[in-house]
Amino acid sequence: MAFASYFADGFDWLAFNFCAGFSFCAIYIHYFLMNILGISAYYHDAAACLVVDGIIKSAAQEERFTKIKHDPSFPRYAIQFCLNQSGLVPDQIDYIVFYDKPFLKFERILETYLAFAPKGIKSFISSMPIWLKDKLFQKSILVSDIESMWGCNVDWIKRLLFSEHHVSHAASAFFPSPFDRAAVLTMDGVGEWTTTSLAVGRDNNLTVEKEIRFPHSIGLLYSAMTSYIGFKVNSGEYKLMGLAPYGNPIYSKLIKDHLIDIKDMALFT
Amino acid sequence: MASVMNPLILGSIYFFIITPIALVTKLFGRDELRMKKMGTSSYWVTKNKTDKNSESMKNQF
Repeated sequence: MAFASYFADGFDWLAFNFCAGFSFCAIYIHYFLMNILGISAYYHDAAACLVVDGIIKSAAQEERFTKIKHDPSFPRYAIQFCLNQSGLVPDQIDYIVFYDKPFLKFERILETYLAFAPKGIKSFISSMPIWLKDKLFQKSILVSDIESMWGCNVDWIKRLLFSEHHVSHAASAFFPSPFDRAAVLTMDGVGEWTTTSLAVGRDNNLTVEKEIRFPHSIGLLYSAMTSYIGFKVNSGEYKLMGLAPYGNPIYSKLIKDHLIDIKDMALFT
Repeated sequence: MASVMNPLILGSIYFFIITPIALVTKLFGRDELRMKKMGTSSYWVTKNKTDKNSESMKNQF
C-alpha cells in the first residue's frame, strides 16, 4: 500500500510506503528547491537578491559594481554576482520577481493629476513622455534586459512576477526574522498607493491587513524636509537622519500645527 | 521636433481632457486621494482582500 501527499510549505512531496506483514516502512522526503531572483531596478539603488529554498544566498547593490552612486539601471552586475556566488546558471532560476507594480503606480500618478488639475501641467509635460515611452512597458523592458544578459532560451515572461512595493518591504523584514508569527509595520515615501502598511506574517505567509494611502505619508514628509534643508530626495535622507540628534525640536509645534494631523491611531500629512 | 510637439500635445491633453474630467468629478464629490479632512478617528484603510491572491503576482496591477 502506498500513498503520496503534497505539502506546499517546503516539501515537494512526501511518499509513505507501508507494507503490512513485513513491518516495512520507508519515508522519502524530497526538499522543494526553488530559486527566486528578486530585482529592484529603474529607480534609486537598483539591486538583486537570490533566494534558494527560502534562504537568502546572496544580495548586492548595482552601485557597488558600476561605481555610480544610487545607480538605477538594470542590475546586471549584481544579478551576475548573485548567480556566481551560488553557482547557479540562469535556466535554474524558477522565478524573477520585480519589486513593485508599475500599472498601479501609473494609476496613482494619474489620480494625482486629476486631483490637482489644472495645476501640475509642468510636471505632467515633463514626466509623461518617460511613462509613455518606458515605464508603461516595464515588463517588456525587463524581459529584454534579461534576454540581453541571458539570451532567449527560456521564456522569461512566464517566470516574471510582480510584488507590491510594501509587500516586498514587509517580506524583507519578516521572512529573514527569527519569528514564526509577527506583526509587520512598513513606512516609506510611497509604493504604488501604500505609504504605510500593517501586515501579519504567519510561517510562509504574509498578508497586508491595513494601509495608509498616498498622499498621506510620513516618508514623503521626511523627503520634503530633506529637500527643504538642501539634500537630494531619495539620497540625502540618511544625512538628515544623522544630523537630527544634533538639533533641537524648535519647529516641532509648527510642523504639528500646520503640516500634519495626528490621530490616535494614525498620521495624516 | 519632439521637444516642441511633446509639450504641445501633452499640454492639450492636460487642458482638454484631464482638466475637464477633474473638474466634473470634483463637482460630484470624487475625492480619490482623500484630501478632504475626514471626521474619522483613523486614516488606516482595510486592504482589499482580492489583492491577497498569489496569482495576482503575475500582473503588473
